[in-house]
Amino acid sequence: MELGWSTSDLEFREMIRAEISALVPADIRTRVENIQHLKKEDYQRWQTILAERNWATPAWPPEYGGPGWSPLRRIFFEEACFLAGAPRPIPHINMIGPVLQAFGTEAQKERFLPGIPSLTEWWCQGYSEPSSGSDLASLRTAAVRDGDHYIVNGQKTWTSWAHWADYMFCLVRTSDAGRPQEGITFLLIDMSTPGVTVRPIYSLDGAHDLNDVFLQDVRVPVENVVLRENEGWTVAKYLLNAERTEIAGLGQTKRLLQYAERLAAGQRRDGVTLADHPEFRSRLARIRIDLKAHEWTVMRVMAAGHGDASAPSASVLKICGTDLLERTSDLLMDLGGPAALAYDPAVHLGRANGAAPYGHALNGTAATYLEFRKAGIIGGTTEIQKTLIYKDAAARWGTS
Amino acid sequence: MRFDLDADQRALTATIEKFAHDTYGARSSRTPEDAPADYSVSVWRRMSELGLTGLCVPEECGGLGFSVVEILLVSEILGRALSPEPFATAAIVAAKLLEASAAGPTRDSMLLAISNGEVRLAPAFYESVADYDLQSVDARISDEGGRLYIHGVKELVVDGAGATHFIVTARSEAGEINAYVVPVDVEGVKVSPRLGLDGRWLASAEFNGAAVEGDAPLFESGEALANVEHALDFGNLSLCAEALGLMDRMLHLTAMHLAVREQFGKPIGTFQALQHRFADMVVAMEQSRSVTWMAAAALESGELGAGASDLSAAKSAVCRYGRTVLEGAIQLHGGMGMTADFELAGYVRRLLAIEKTWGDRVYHELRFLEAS
Repeated sequence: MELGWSTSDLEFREMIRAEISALVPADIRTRVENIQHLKKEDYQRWQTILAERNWATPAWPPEYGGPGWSPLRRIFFEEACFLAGAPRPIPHINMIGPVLQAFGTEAQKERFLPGIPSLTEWWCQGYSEPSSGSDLASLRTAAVRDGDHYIVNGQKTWTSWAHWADYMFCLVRTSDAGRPQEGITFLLIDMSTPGVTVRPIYSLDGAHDLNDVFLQDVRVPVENVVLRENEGWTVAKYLLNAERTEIAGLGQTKRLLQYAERLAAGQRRDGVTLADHPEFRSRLARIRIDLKAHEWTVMRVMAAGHGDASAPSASVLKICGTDLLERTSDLLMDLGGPAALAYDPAVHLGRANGAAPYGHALNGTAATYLEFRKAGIIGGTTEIQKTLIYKDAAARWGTS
Repeated sequence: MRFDLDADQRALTATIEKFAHDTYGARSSRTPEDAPADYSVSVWRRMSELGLTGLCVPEECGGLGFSVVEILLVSEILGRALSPEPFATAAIVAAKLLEASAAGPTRDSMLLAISNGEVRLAPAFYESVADYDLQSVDARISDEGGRLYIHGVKELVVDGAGATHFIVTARSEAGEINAYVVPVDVEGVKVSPRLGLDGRWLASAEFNGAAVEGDAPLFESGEALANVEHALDFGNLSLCAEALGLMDRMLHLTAMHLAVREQFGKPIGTFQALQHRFADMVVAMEQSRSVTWMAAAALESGELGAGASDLSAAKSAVCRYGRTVLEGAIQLHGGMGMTADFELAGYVRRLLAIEKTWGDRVYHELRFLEAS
């Protein structure tokens, strides 16, 4: 056990901060600092800039073009990005990427991996269905073999960025035999295939991130199966593990906290800034402290190998990250004060240019609060995570 | 940065675990009302033979010269075993403060005696019981022809009742706060034991012209307070790590209870409401571990003042997360959780005692804000 940071790590931190700060395009930085939503092109432009330096896929192993950074350096990189007002990392990079690296055929790797780092091909995740949320294995979207194709029928829902996506990695039912998990296949679907229809779902804040995806007689070539037919659950579980640091929400929480601190410093109530107001000062302090703890939990998880029982589980990360996102956005709602009564969605969501009625920061408070109610729902609800944590703990302690 | 133990660290862990098992049994059944459940001189001797009393003492003064990682490892094991020995006080705070003090015969002889297990120094810094203000010091030194005598009263002296020496803050004749070593057995020292929340003995220490060891302060003018704070940071690091051991044992006890206790015809661990309460405890425990390790990393350099902000973040968080663990453990044990005779009681009360030792949540949240 060695807990200190080496000089070379600290030098790396300085280097990456300076480099990233110089790389973020001014217009993107302005929108990020104004808490405005970004466009697809913003994310693509940023990832392309990173890809030129081989920094677009920090978590990928070097043999697939990752920079080979230690967990600590990946955290420094993420920190540098959020400090500089860069777009947040797109989670799919660390979902479909590692899955293809672990289970993909050579042809699949060759076809799909190159489009991921610069987001020249955008992916979405087709998991949830109208009747299958937490009980994902009950999913019913069916793929029936027809020669060298599957014919897929069904509906996926809550699909983030399906309207931007070129491909969807998708769980489909290929068998009703055995346990529900045993008849599931992991399939890559071209979103431009006839029969794929995307319909927007507008969120509480008015944003369009989520979608329904209807699949009607969609023909998917059999070479788009990852691993083997009826072994999709294995892939899904691996993916869950691969995205465990994404799910920690570290960068997002730091952004929200930075936003809250900026707002607190600029608003006055009872003759003091909200940063010095006893109520907000104490809440900010606890969030900052819990974020420090969370950051070290993330480092512990990143440093541990897969299946290392002594490290915290992905569920612990998810719960801590969710708690911080919920509390920080909750604080923002309070920091907004009376001005949070006004909301101009077009400006906040990046659909219109121009000023928000009482400034961008205030315009974003209620919307951010509403947006981050999602934290405890996506990627496995808080309640599902708690049940998983109990199962782990009962196995470890419950019988001796 | 690495979180897994190397061969030396695993060997140390195995040694301390064996010591804890041999000394306290597979499970501790001590409860706070078993007073005097205090530490024993013979166990302290055995700990010195294992190098534990001199864990942080420099090698040239007979110690092992270890640092933060070893403090973490040892403290956690002692916590899991509910060891009542004065490790954080005598082996960490006193040793760290002496190590930092000005070179001289008192420093070297005391450090050697700490390593040998011959002395147990209790830090005596607080006079008010209303706050943790290290600067509210009325105790004073009188200089009578080069002989120094101390006058004043110190409260809430942790592990004070069985100490051989106090390490005391007092004002010099010039009015400056400094630190002094005072033996318990000299004329003018009156020790009034006070039973602590955790069944360990605190003391009020009254000094009526007691002679100061070596007739000299420990620090150069103006340097004492910062060093006292720094030594307490290491003491609090040890307490945080000890708390991890306590929480780990509380989780273990609770998990066993959930598996064994049956109601409505099945183990109560099958009920989701209880599972989720338990999950909250696991998360609190993991966050405590993370934040304690963070504080250790921040203190590792040993530079005066370094790590104060992270240590206070950690202590305040461990106080808060500790409540989640102990309240959950009591609730999930039902009536048994309320029982003084049950093993859990000792863990609950020790965790609360740690919370109240050397700064509680409120104190450390404010210190964190001021230091960062």
